[in-house]
Amino acid sequence: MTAAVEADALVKTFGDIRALDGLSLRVEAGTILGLLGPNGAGKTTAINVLTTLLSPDAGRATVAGHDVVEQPALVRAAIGVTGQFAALDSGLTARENLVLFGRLMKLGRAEARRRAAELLERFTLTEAADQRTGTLSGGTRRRLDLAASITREPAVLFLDEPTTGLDPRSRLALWEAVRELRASGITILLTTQYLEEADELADRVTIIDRGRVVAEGTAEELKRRVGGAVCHIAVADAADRQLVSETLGTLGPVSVLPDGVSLPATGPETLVAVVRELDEARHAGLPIARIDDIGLRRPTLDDVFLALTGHPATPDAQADGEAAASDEAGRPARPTAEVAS
Amino acid sequence: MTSTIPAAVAGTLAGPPPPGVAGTRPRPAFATDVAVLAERHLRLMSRRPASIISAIVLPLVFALLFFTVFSRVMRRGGLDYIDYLLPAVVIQAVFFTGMSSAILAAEDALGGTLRRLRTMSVSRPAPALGLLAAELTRSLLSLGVLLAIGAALGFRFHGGPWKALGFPVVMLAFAAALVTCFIALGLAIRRLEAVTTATNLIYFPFMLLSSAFTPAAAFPSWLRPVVEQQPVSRVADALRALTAHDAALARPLLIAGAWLLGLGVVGVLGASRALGRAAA
Ligand SMILES: Nc1ncnc2c1ncn2[C@@H]1O[C@H](COP(=O)(O)OP(=O)(O)OP(=O)(O)O)[C@@H](O)[C@H]1O
Ligand SMILES: [Mg+2]
Repeated sequence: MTAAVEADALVKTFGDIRALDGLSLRVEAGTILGLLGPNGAGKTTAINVLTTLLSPDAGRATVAGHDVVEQPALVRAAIGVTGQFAALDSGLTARENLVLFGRLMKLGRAEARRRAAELLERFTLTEAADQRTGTLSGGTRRRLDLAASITREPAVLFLDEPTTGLDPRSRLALWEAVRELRASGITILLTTQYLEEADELADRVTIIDRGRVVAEGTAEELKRRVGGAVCHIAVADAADRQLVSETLGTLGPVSVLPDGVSLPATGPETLVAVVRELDEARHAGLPIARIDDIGLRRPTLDDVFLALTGHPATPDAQADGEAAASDEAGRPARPTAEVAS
Repeated sequence: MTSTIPAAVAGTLAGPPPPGVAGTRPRPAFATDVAVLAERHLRLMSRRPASIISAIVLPLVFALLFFTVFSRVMRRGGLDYIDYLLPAVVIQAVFFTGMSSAILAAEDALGGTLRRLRTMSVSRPAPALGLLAAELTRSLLSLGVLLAIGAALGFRFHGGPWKALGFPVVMLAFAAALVTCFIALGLAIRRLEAVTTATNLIYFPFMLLSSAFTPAAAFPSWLRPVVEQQPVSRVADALRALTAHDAALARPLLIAGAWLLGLGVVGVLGASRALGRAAA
């Protein structure tokens, strides 16, 4: 197969921070690559380099056969980009935004209008068509942003955290749209912090951490690398999670995840042992308030991430959960940190 | 369109494919980009009450206010104040335009528009030039409104049609130079309150310490040389020379032209630097 995107040992530093530290990746034509990593892993920086916004300090990359440093104009002509933060004009209607993009992509007036109507239809945006973009919901704006970036059927589409901050229904709608784009032959590189999202959409997954690849493969392969089954104890409360993990410490290496606690399982006997330990602990007076579920399951990408990097993928799994506040409370509407540089 | 990769690979060998063929990639087209982006800004401005107020209402209010307050005093001093006032309010309207351009430029940098355009086949200076074109259109609108109210209050071009034609030309040149500088400022600062503060810090001293609203003779003598020499006064001189019956023309035009050229060069250098940074 041909590679639509190929990056080789990319390095990008900002002062002391090595945002990309020898990153290599490859996206086969016509497939979706999920670039997975926690906050600050270097996802956006990687996209910025591949979309010609930043030039790398070292390494090289080609997109649609063109070198991103040597031939930026050819790269730009072949790509579509939906950034981490929607860049639409809130004062224009959905339709006007799409016509604007069509015109900037050198479609004639009539052609741009026709294409806009077609995209509105295809992305189920007809109801929002003549409303100001500023009044649309987050999910609708995201879909519009996606529609705008494929106005001129790009060879390669870059999506930076396309569903961050969306409610589950909007997320499903966006996934559907992405799958459809893939079906129409567009190569897609999407970044995400959601392991579930990579699992759902991506043909292959590249996991990065601190600007480096820590694992690469299909979601299935990666899960297999972590080994057999996992016993997962769903616990909503962070303090309870801590208690549960201490209680089960005797049974094996316990990992604390955002939604519970898990440990490697050899089979149903692990389940029995876990239940017994928890029951005894409770009788001994340990104040574990509530356990939502206990079960055996195949490892998720969360487990993969933990096994490969030694720390969880989602920041709120880091014990006190302070890092989660920045994401759960909604990201800033504008990328202030990025812009201020 | 599933054959995108072969088309793109062919592009490496043979250069970008010709436009207009199905499946080909867009290519930068400078004039279209500027026109489309200018249209975008004009449409956004027309939907923004603040833009309409600062382009039309404020200049009118200032014109009427100054006229009612000062015309009698000035007439006593032998001056037909509306003839003196009109160039001043025109200059002031250009400043309002400049302030608007700084804010809009900063918003485009903040909202990610510039970054996104940078990943597209849009020519590099087009975002700034589109904004400039929109702001120049806007300042022509302000000029039209001010000339209309001026005419109603007795303003006349006393120097014949050629000089009258020179008036909007000089105003546009001033607007182009100032707006370019203010766009550079907006792109460089990129924080909305800070942009507003910075533009006010430029506007107030240059406007108030100039011979725009009051003759230089009204200032204390130690301040007079500064008031007379500074660019806003020089532009006011040029505009007044173009409205007067028989004033010397060459000298004020040359001096104002030199200032505007300098200002323009600073603006272009600043804006192209800031544009590169804002998009990265
Ligand atoms: N312009 C910049 N100046 C300084 N540091 C930067 C800049 N851009 C990114 N960084 C730093 O580089 C690292 C990688 O950032 P990047 O935005 O690529 O991460 P990310 O994976 O996209 O994270 P997130 O999930 O939060 O979007 C971070 O430590 C970040 O603080
Ligand atoms: Mg990011």
